[in-house]
This record gives sequence, structure tokens and C-alpha cells, in this order.
Amino acid sequence: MRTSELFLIAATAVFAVVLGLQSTDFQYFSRQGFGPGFVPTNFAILTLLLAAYLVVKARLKSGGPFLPEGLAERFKAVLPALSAAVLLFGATALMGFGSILAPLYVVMVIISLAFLGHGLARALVFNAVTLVAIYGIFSLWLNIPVI
Amino acid sequence: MDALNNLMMGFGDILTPFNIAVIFAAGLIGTVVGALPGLGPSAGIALMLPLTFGMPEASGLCLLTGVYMGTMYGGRITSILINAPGDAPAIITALEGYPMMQQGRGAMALGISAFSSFIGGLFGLLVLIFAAPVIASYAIYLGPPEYFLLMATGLATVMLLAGDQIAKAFFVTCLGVLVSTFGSDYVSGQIRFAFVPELIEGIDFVAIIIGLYGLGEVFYNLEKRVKLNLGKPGFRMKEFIPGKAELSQAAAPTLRGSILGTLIGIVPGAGATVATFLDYAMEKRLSKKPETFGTGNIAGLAGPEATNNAAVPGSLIPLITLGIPGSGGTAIMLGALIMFGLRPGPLLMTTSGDIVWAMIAGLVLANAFLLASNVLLIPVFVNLLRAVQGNLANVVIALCVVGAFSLAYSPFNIWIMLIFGLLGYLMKKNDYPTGPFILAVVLAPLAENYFRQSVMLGQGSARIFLDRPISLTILILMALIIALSIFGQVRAKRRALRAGADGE
Repeated sequence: MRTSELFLIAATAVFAVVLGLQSTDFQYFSRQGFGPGFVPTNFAILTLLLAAYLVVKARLKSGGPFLPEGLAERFKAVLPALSAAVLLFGATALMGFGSILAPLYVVMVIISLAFLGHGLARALVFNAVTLVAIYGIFSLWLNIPVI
Repeated sequence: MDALNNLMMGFGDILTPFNIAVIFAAGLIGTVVGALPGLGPSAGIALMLPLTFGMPEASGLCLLTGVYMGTMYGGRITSILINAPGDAPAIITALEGYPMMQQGRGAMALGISAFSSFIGGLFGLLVLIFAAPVIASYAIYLGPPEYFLLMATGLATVMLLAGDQIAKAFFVTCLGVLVSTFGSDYVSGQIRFAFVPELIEGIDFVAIIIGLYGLGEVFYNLEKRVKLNLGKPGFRMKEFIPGKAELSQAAAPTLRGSILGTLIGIVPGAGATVATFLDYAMEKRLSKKPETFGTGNIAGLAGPEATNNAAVPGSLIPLITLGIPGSGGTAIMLGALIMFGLRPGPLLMTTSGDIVWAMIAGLVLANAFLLASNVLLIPVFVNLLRAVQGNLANVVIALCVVGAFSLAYSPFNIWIMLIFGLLGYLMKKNDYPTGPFILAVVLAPLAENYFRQSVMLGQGSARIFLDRPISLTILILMALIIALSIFGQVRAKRRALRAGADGE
């Protein structure tokens, strides 16, 4: 089983457990039918059952070790996606200070340099042009306060 | 005649310089997005949704449907030129189009596929124009039990079409239902899972789809280091125009593809991809020279191209008349209709007929624009694709972030978009279908509402689903679909096992 699949299933299961527990605050039945707790409770249980089924099925299918070997190489392969996600999470935290485009520009330049094989000048110019176009569309045309 | 009058009224609304420019731009954007491997119709509509804020409803919907239609035209360009299908329905196009390109008939393949796409789209639109009002007039007899069952049928079909991935499809459907439970409960008015004040209204659907289809694709393509290399194909204008011989070979498959595509498009859950595969198999079976399929057969190219374009208007029929989306793309369209303050369902054509007919008129215009642009502007598309091919990841990231911010002018939706971007990446990486997830997110609140209303109507008893003739019919149909699908899968497995045993 892939580590990423296990992560997906585990994260979904945790999400289902949280919602399942929280949904006990809501009525399961109402006077003439079902209450607001009916759907989240049942689907949280169903999600957990399916998560268990998918893990067991993958375990039975894979003859060798449960997690694949060569984790270091696999980690290296997912590094671009993972780094881009981390950069974007960091940039979003910085957006709280007022500017959306400035942190975004920095992330875009780093991605250009690190993963798209652009030189510094190309990365700076291409991404500046992209953001100017986006600023024109959203801020000047649609009056959405993107700065 | 009413339909034609309404269509003329729709044309009256959209024939303004702004709307014409929007429809033309939508076609161009859709074609480019459709041509880019990894970005399909859902991503195209999702990325364009924030642009519709502040536009009149008709213009916004024309933009979205124009992009939807454009992606169906665009998918074929990279399929034919570099054997890299832009989206799933274009996989079949690559089977016949790329061999034609290798034989020096690439321009002809582009020309024939553009004409077939146009005819397919036009046929689907005619059915939409004349059938939608008829279906809508009957749909007013449906009540909550029938609506719930229709939605359940749509979801069941999508899951069943997942084939071997049925458990995964069911899993993501459940996840979609859970995501949809945030915010106000329609029936009791209680607020569910508002861990932060921004969640009182629920999780914004647009942030979910931008993340899932936009950012998720970027992360996946960054990992796979997907690179386009279109080169500089040089074609002469006259090479795009099919001659008499080519047209006669393409005519019958185009017509068959148009009919099949429209019919399959109407069925909730089936969609353009399934339709193109079925049509290709049908054309191969009908052909006198099936051995030429895969080597640049015109029938194998024209039929599926007509099919995937006919499926778009086809899939809009249940959406407009019943408020039931049958695919990821139409689920996003449903979200857009709700975002514009419209109430999808049987009364949509009565209460907001002007907007719906303007949208349909916009589609007719977009289809004509797309034919012209896909014959005359192929060099423009190729150059546009070459311009973005090196920096596509950053263009999409910027659109996703700014688009998510535009939803409420706050970074909260950017966080949501990032979380669903990661989810989309993990789903794509591990072959979990996104269609059932997004359908569940859109349909679950409506289905929950209809289900609980039905049980209340039945005084607490679920027998109401069996007592009403229409709902009973839908139940039987649903059972038949499930039974046939399971039977088909078991038969296919047995056949594969038998073939394996014979091989040994």
C-alpha cells in the first residue's frame, strides 16, 4: 500500500471520527422522522467501515511488506508537490498581513526556480506578468480588492 | 414553437457586445484549458467561477457553459498533435488522431474532428432546446420522494461506473457527504460543525472545487514533472478543410455519435468519457475494416468526437429540468446556478426562464464560434498553449489562490482551497475518483433535505417511497441499474479469468 494512500485513508478516518463524535450533539430522530444528527452519524460510521475495508483489502492484496520499500526515493519523488504545498501554506499565513499577491509572487518564483527549471530572470518576469494580468482582471475589471 | 420563441428571446438577451466577447473568450479559454493535459472541464469551470462574480447571471452562465463546451473541443488538439489527451474523453481521439498526425494528415484530423464536434454539439443542443421544456413540464409532478430517489440513482450510477474502484468511489462519496454536512441544516435550522465562525454558512463549494481540480492537478503534475512540448507544427489553411471523400466517411459516424452522446449525456452519472468509449466500440463493430482502427480511421475519429460534444448539452437536460447533475462538470454548474441565486429544479425554466434560455442561446453561439475558431485559429491555440506550457503550474496556482480569496475577500477560503488541493492530489495519486466526491458534496444537502421531508410526509414511515407510483418506478429502475451493473462486472471478471485460464 502506498504511504500516500494510507495517509489519505487515515486522515479521512480521523475526520470521520471527529464529525461522528460531534454529531452526537444533534438529535438522531425528530418527532416525525430524522434529526440533524442522522446523516453525519451514519456516514461517519460508514466512512470508518470503508476505511477499514480499504486498508484490509490492500493488506491482503500486497504479498510483501505493508508499506513499500525505498521510502527515501519515494519521498524524493513527492518532494516538489509537498514543497509547493508547504510554501503555499506558509504564504497563506503571511497573507494575513494584508497582501495576497506579494507572498504569492515569492512562492511562484521559488516554484519556477526549483521545479520548473526556469532561470532567475525568466522566473521573475514570467510570474510578474502573470500576476499583473491577474491583478488587471480581478482588481481593475471585477473590482475585487486583490493587492 | 414555444421553444423557438424562447430561444429567440434568449438570443435577444445575449446579443450584446459584452456577452458576445464573453462567449468568444469562454470558447478560447475552454479550448486552451481542455487542450492542457491534466486540466479538464471541471478544472476549467472551477477556475473561471470567480471571474463570474459581479457579472449578470446570463453572462456568467454563458462564460461557464462556453468554457465547458470549449474544453470538449480543446481536448482533441494535444491528442492529435502530440498524443497527449487533454482530458479523458479525448483519449479515444488520440487513438486515431495521432496516427493521422504521424502520416502527415494532422491538419485533416483537426479539421474533421472540429466538424464532427460541431455537429455533435448542435445535435445535443437541438435536443436540449426541444426536450428540456417538455421534461420540465412533467417534472413539476415530482415530489421530495422522487427527487431523493433520482439523486440517489445519479450517485449510485456514478459509483457503479467506477468499475474496479467501487469501494474507493463509495469511500469518497461518504467523505463528500460528510463535508456537505457543515453549516446550517435545512430542515431543523441547526448549525452543524461550525468549529470557526466562517463555517456557519458551511464550506464554500467553489473553494472546494478550485482546490480539488485546480491545485490538486498542479501538485500532481509537479510530482510527475509533466511537461508539454508542442514544437512548431506548421499547417496550411486548406489542409484543415475536409474534402468530399473524408466528409462521406465521417457523416454516418458523426450522426450516430451525436445520438449516442446526447442519450448517454442525459443519463445521470454516465458522461462524455463513457460515451466516447462506447461509440468507438460501436464504430469498430459496424466498420467493414475494423483492422484499420488504431491506424488513423476517420470513422473512429469522427464518431467519438461528435459523441463527447453531444454529451455536454445532453448532460445539461437533467440539470436544467430536474436540478440533478450527472457528472463532475455539471455538479459544478449546479453549484454555479445556486451561487447566482437561481433555484435549480422543475420550476427553473418557469421562474428563471429568461436566464436559462439566454444560457442555451449562448451555447448555440459558442458552438458556432468554436467551429470557426477551431478551424481558423489552430495556430493561435498552438501558440497560446506554447506560451503557457512552461509556466502552467504557476498560472493555475495564482488563479486558484486569487479565486479562493475572491469568494469572501478573506484568506479563510484559501486555507480551505489548500486543504482540498491536497485532498485532490492524494485522490488523483491513488486513483480515487473525484466525480463521486464532488457530486456528493453538491447533492448530499439536497438529498438529505428531500429524504427527511419525504419521511415527514410519510408520517415517519419510509413506505412513502413504495406507495407513490413514480417513486416506486424510480426504485425499480435503480435496482435494475445496480443489478445490471453488478451482473456486467461479474461477467467481465469471469471472462477475464477464463481468458487467463485458456492462456495458460
